[in-house]
Amino acid sequence: MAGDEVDYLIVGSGVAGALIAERIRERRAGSVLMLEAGGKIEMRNERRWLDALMSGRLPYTIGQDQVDEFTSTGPDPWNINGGRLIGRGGSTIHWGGWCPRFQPEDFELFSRVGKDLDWPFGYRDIEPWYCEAEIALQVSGDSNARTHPWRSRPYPFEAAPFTQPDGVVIKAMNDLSISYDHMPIARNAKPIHGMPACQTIGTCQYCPIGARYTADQTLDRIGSDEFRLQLHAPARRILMDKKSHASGVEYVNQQSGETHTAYGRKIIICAGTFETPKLLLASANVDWPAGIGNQTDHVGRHLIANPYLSVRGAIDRNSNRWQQELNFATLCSRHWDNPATQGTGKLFLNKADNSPFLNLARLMAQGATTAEIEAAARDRTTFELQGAMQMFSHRENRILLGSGTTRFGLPKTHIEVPIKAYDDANAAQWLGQMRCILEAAGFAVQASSVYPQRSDHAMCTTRMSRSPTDGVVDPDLRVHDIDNLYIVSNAVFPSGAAANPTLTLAALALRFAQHC
Amino acid sequence: MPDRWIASEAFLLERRRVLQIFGILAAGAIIPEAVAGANDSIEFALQPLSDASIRNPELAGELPPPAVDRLWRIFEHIGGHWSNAADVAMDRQRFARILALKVSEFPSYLTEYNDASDLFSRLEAQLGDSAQALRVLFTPPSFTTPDFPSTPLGHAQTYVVTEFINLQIANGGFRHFGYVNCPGWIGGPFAGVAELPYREWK
Repeated sequence: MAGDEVDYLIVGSGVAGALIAERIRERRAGSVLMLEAGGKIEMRNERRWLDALMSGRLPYTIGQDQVDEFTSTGPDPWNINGGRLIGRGGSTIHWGGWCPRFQPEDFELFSRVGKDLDWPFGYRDIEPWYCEAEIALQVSGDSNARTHPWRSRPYPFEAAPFTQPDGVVIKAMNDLSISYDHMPIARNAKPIHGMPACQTIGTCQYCPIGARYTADQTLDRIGSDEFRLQLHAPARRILMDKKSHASGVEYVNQQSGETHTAYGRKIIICAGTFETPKLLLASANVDWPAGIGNQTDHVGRHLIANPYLSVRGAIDRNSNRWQQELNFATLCSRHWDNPATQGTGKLFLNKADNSPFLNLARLMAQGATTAEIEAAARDRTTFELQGAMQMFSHRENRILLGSGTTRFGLPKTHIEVPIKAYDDANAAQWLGQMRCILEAAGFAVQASSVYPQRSDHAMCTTRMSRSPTDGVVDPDLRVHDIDNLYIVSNAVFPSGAAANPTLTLAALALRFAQHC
Repeated sequence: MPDRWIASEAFLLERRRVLQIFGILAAGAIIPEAVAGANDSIEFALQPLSDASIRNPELAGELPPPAVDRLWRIFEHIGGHWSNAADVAMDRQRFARILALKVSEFPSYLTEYNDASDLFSRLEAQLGDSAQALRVLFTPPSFTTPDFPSTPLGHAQTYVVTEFINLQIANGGFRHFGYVNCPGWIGGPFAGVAELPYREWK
């Protein structure tokens, strides 16, 4: 088997891998080979967009986990179907694009409340990289927001103004003295990177013009000069030529069925919170009998995500015909995302981007008359508030190799969560606050619940630590005691936050790419 | 919301009217004497097919112009039936281009579109005029037998009528109901504009 030999071998083509590869090529630092288990998904394609619009058929669901590709045990098993995406561009292909920064105190969790680990650097250190990440991800936001963390540079794009339905919730928040802000979101308000400005088309699940950032856009820009992306190439194991040095990655060409070895001077694993620890565990050898980087048994452990809360309320009359006319979130609140709530689990609150919404076409297809639809537009409607809750890690909650392989040639996933993902009392408290807002807005609360835990926002399974005793990678994202093996993923977060993690991952990737 | 409408009195009246066209009732229902036997007239539309999924999705090609004409008439009927034609930004040329995209690559709608066109023609011939044929095509299927989706009429309603309604609403039909923006409508940018493409909270 002939091997490929490159300066940088990257596993995974999601946002982290794409940004790193782009920066490496921008500074002409060497050749790059990227391995991606999934295939190419057609983006910005008019036919695929018409299918999404006319039939609801999205072109990327094939890249999402199927129910027979994972197992989960514990009192509250995870259902990761639909939560992540395997393919060119990774999970950004289907993401919502919410881009809040972590708060400064999120980097000091252990020092402040004695939980998880502190990050080995603080908000002040990563802040310039947040600015860079916001440009890379074409983020619109309010640079004067009151509850978002301080910033040294304005957002690249201004925030979309609040919608009328936002105003209903804002009025209630004002009455209750609850602070709120614009949701920072990966939608470019003006052309950037060759992509046109957002045209508020409202099919954000599949943007026909690329105004919602997806990592395939970054990959498209890199070109083919000393960069090659090998699709349908699941990495099976990391190869070591001595205990402290990785030589390459063994992968399968899914289309030919052949096994190949790619050799790299530096090997960078950007395979996400699930596949990264699985690859380390699958690479066990004589020197690393429990898996590479697993000498202190942290690989795969400390799994967390963001439990997702929902409260729905209804009003009997919608005289103003409130309708969510943008298909992305514009209103959020970090009122309970602060040091005071850090000890029990913060809340990042937003108004749902899909309510209130009267589906006119569905009513028509069901035979409603014009008069009936006009009446329905002023009739009962529902609003939804959603909240992402901070979770604390437990060593016992972990990712393991499952039995067999997936459609992508990757090992199946076993998610072992013997300790419940969230604290019931804390969730109940936040659901209560969310109910108060809707009731103050005049709604009758209809439902209040926590969504089943998916894989979105999963973090911490190869966490960063100063010492090998506490984690898997060092502050430079190098696997402890291995000279040339790096991990850039949500998996390296030492702790989580209430805010969505992708912008923080992008900032980490850009910081890493500067010196790798 | 939709379930409530289905259960509404108005809808039940509509159901009775349609049953009189179809001459059929759900299994076990009592068939009124006045409509019994009338189902023979459109039996071809309710013959079982192999399944409800897109037929021959790998068969790409071009739609014959008469089929495009008939499908355009179906699309236009939406605006007439719901009185929102004046709000729709879709002309025949653009519509034909969309159809061409839908039949030229996988999953191709070529068979579905040709069959829906043929069904429309047969219904016209059988029922005497296009108004009656369109009435059948636009009658909601929810009350019929569980096998309805895998009939010629079920296919036409799923892959043509319902999808055309989605297209029509996204291309401006929504404006008739007082909204400013809707998924699928190219509203325009949200920054640096005098007027936002959606209703703003101030």
